[in-house]
Formats: sequence, C-alpha cells, structure tokens
Amino acid sequence: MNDIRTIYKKSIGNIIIPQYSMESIQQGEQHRKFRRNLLLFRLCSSVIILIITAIISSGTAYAVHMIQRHIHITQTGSKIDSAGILKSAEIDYVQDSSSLAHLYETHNQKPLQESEKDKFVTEEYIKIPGEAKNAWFFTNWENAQEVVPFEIIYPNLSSINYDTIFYQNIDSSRKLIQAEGEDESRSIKYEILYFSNINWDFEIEHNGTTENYRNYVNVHGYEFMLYDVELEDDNFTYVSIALPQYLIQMYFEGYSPLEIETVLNELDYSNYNM
Amino acid sequence: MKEIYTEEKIKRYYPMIYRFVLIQLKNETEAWDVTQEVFYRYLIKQPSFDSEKQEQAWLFTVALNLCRNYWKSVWYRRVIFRESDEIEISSISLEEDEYKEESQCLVEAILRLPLKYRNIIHLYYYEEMSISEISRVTKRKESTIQTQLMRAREIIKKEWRN
Repeated sequence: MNDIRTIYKKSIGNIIIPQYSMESIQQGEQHRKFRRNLLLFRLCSSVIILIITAIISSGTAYAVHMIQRHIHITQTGSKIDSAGILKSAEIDYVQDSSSLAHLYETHNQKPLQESEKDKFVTEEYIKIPGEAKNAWFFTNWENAQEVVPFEIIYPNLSSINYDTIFYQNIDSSRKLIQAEGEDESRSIKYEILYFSNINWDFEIEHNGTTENYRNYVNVHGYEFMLYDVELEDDNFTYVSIALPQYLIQMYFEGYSPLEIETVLNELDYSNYNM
Repeated sequence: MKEIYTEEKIKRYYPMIYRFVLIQLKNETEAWDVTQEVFYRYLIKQPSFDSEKQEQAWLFTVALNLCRNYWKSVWYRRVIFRESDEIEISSISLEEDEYKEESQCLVEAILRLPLKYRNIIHLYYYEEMSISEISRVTKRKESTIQTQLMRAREIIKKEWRN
C-alpha cells in the first residue's frame, strides 16, 4: 500500500494549481450576487408573464361568458351555407319563437294560444333587428294590425304588394310603421311612414331641400302637404298627410304632382281644398 | 494584520483544497469554481480553530459539502451529460520515467472509483489523514470509513493489476 501512496502523492502533487488571488475570491461575491439577481429577475419575469397570461385568460373567459349570456343561439337562428360558413348575422338577430312570443305578449298583451298566432310569431312573419328589440316585420297589414296596439289608417290599394311592413315601438309615446311596396302596373314605389304622436313641423324639415310645396286640407279636415325633394339627379316626391294624431308620409319616384294627385284620389284622399 | 494572516492561510490551503475538489469533480473549471466558493466562505465566516488540523478539517468538510451540492444540482444532473468514468483533467502531468504507465493506471483507477470511496482514498493517501479525522470530515462513522477504505483498496488493486 505504500506504493499506492507514493505513486498517488507524486501524481497528484504534479497537478497544476490555477492562478488565484484575494480579489478573485472576493469577486466571487459579486458573481454570486449577479447570479442571484439573474435568478430573481427570471423569477419575477415568470411571475409577471403568468399574471399577464392569467389576466388575458380571465378577460377572454369573461368576454365569452358575457357573450354567451347575452346571445341566444337557437337551431332556427343558426344557418350554415353550402361552403360551411356559419352566418353570424342571422344568429345575432333571429331568435326562437318562444322569446318572440314573450315579446309579443308583452306588447300586445294577448296570450299566444291559437295555432294561427303561433304560426304568426315564427320567423316566417316576424324578424327582430338586433338593435331595435321592440320591432317587427310583416308581409301584410292584417298581420301588422294584430300586433300594433293602435288603429292603422293605411292606403287601401289592392294593387300594391308590400314587400315589408316594419313596426317599431320607438318609445312609450311614439310608434312607427314603415311600409315599402311597388305598384307594378304604374311603376310607382311607395314608402309609407306612419308616425304616431309626432310633431308635424319636425317631420317636414327632415327631408332636406324642399320645393313646390303646397298645403292641402281635405273634406274631413285633415291636412296634407305635397312637396318635391330633389336629391342629386333624381326627383323624389313626398306626400305628407297629417291626421289628428298621426303623420303619413308617402314617397313616389318619377311622378309629377298632378299624377300624384291622381294616385291620391285613388287612395280616398281625393277631396281636397287647395 | 488579520488580513495578511488570512491571505497567508489561503495561500497555504488553496492547492490542498483545489486538488481535493478536482479529484471529486474531475473537471478543472468546476473545481476552480468550488474552491473559490470554499475560500469565499472562509473569508466571510473567519472561523477560529484550536489547531491547524481542525482548520484543515473545516475546509475539507466545506469543500465536500459544496461538491455534494454540486452533484445534487440540476445543472450537474441534467445539463452535464457525461460518462461516469470520464476524466477531464489535463493538469496532471506525470513524470517521464519507468513508472509513468503504472502511475497513470493508478490515478485513472482512483478517479474511476465511486464518489464515496474517492474522497476517502484522497484524504487517506494524499493528505495522510487518520480514520478518525476522515470520519470527522465526511461525517461518517469510523467503522464505515474503515470498510469503505478496504473496499476501495480492493477495487484499486484489481484494476491496477489488470
């Protein structure tokens, strides 16, 4: 064993000892401080990243939760086209019949028990725009009359096909019905705005430049105003009829005032005092 | 005055601790790093001892603990992928004589020993410590040291003769 000791001591004794100094040993502290700070920095960075990730995740989750809470997607509301794209607009605006029935009952205060009314509140007849919750679309006046909580005085023209009849409960005192149709035999386009409890002057003013405006009073004492509104190169004619509580405004395109008078005669507003 | 005294001590003990750590870690860079740490602790704590033997034992104990920390570190276990018997010591220069080959075999046999035997062999043969001193440094029982020393010798003899 002495041989081991001798040889080992001789071999290990030849190990080259690296240069060292007191400064290098003391600098070790700075090195350690640097490593400690680096570790601390990495730890803080990780914590900050975790916090940011948590905030983003919770924000996203909250947003998703709020969206799910306020949007009800039903089978009738979601549509997927042939390309497999989900039509979100329809999802946003179309609700199922049960929620419509609730609205219907609220405003009309009529329970939907009969089968015809159940059919009436399906999306075939009624669609509610996203912003205007108290609004409905109809395809004929009779259906509109079922829902609108006041009497509608409307032009009795069997030749007019109304594409849409829109009713909106604007606020507690004002209602609006807007109907768009076309008399194909005469190439007349109608746009009828029917306001309840409306300020006449206000509605006259809102159409911009007004020309050829004449005031009429019919035999029943109702006033109406016939005027042309010029917009760029096209001529449009608006007829506003003031009834005791309502304003009916009609829009004709491509007709002179005299031709419109003829139409008004047919609309049973024919007996006027100029 | 105290600083000069400490500096002299570091000058005296630095090669001793460096050799010990190098034999344990088998890597010069890591051995230098750990040795610096040993003497940094020595400077910070400024321990007082009754004898030089006690002082040496304290230094060896600190060095061995730091080596153990190093072996346990994630860096050593996961980053340094190397064979257990790989020796990365280029600073051992053996003299050119008829015993050079024999010396090389012996050093390599000792360096290939398991960690628990390697520190005992070094302290026993190079530092000429007694069993009780090694027991204090390694915090192991004397009987354990005796057994491990005997087994280490057998391994060395076997490898050396081969």
